Amino acid sequence: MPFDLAFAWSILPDLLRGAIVTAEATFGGMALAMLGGLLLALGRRIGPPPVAGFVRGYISLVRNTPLLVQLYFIFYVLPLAGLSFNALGTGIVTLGLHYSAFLAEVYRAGIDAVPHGQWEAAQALSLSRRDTWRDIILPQAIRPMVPVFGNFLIGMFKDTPLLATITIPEMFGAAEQIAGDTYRYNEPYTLVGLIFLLISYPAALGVRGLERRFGVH
Amino acid sequence: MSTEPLIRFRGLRKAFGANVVLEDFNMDIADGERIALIGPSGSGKTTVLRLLMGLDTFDGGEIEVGGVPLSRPSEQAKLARRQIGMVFQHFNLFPHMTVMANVTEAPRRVLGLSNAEAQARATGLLRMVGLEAKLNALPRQLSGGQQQRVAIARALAMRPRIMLFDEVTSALDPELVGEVLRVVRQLARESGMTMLIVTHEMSFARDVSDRVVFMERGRVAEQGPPDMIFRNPSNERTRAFLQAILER
Repeated sequence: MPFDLAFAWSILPDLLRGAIVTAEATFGGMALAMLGGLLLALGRRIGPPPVAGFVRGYISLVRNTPLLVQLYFIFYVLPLAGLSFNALGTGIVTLGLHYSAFLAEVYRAGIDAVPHGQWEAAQALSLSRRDTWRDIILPQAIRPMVPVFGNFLIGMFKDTPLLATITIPEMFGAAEQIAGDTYRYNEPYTLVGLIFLLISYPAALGVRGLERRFGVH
Repeated sequence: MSTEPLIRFRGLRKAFGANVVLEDFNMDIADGERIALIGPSGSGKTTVLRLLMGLDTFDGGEIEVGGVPLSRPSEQAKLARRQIGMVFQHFNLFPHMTVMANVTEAPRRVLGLSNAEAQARATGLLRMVGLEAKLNALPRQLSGGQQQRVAIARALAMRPRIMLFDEVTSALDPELVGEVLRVVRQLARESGMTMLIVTHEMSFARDVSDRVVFMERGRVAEQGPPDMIFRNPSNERTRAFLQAILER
C-alpha cells in the first residue's frame, strides 16, 4: 500500500479548505448548543409546567436518537414541510440542536452546584430573580463548566464527518470527493485522520489545562 | 419610639415535615429595639429570622412589618422586606465578585444607584468595618472575620431599617470573633436600627440588646431586660440553659 507524498501534498489545500468548513460547523454548532443548552436548562428549571414538560421530552428525544438520523430528518424531511436551510446551515443547526440537549444537563449540574446560601444572600438583598440569575448564579455555575464545554467542543468536532452525508464540503467530504475522483484512498483518508489528530490532541491537552484552572476549588 | 410595633409576630407556625419548629410564636418589636434571641439549638431562633426575611414560608399566623402582612406575596410585602438586611452564619459572600462588587451589587441593581454613588456608599461602609484596604480583594483572599465584616457592609449598603444577625460568629475561629462583635456592637450603639440578633455569645447578647428573648421549642419561654434574664431568670429552663452555657 504505497503512500505517495507528492500526491498527498497536492491534495492538502483541498483538505484544508474542507477543514475551514469543519471549523465553521463546529464553532457555529457549539455556539448554538451553548445558547440552546442554557435555554433548555432554564426552561426546565423555571419555565411553567408545559415548558418544563416540553423540554424534558425534547431532551429525551434528542439524546436517544442518533445524530445521523437527526441530520437526515432535518435535511430531507423538514423541507417537505416547507422548512429548509442550505446544507451548512442544516449541519450547524443539527449539531446545535443535538448538543444543546447534552449541554442542558451540563448547565443543570452547574446550576445545582451553586450553594443554596448564594440564593439566600441574593434574596436577602432583594435582588430580582433576573439579577440573581445573571449576576450571582450563572457566573458561578458556568465557571466549572468551561472544561466540560471544551470536551463537548472536541466531541462535536469529531462528529463533523457525518455532515459529509448531507453534501456539506467539510474536510471528510473533501477527502471523499478526492477519493471518488482519483480512486486513491490511502492519502486522503490518512491525511484527514492526521489532521483530526493534530487538532484534537492538543485541544484535549488544553482542556486538561482548563480543568486545572477552572476546577471547583 | 412609636407605640405601634415595627414588627409583629402573631401565632406564627412553621413545620418542616413532621418537625414543628415554631408553634404559636408571638413577639412585638418596637422601632429601634435591639433583641437578642437565645435558646437551645432547634428552639426556632434562626427560623424566626428566616421567616421574617422570607427565606422560608410559614404555615400559619402572620408577620407584619410596619403594618404590612408578609404571609402573602405582594408589592407591599416586597417593599417591606427591602427594609430588612440579613447577615448569615456562613457569610454567603458572592465568591466571584470583589469586596467592592459584593457591596455595590444590590444598591445598583435594586435601588438604581449609579456606579459612583454605590461605590462611595460602599467605601464608607467598608471603612466603618475596617476593610477599606480590601476593596479589590476576592472573598477567598480574606479571613472569616473579614468576610463577615464585608457581609455586614453589604447588608448595610441597602440602608435597612431592620438588621438580622444569624449566629454571625458561629463559623469563625475564636480569635476572629471579637472583630465581628465589635462591628455589631458599634452598630447597636450608633445606628438606631432595629436589630434581631441570634447568638450563643451570652456576654455579647447581654451588652448589645435592650431585650433578651429566651426561646424553647418554638415559643418564647421568657423575655426581659438583659440584666433580669441573666441575673435572675424566672423560668427554670432559662436557668438551666444559662447554667449549661456558662459552665462550658
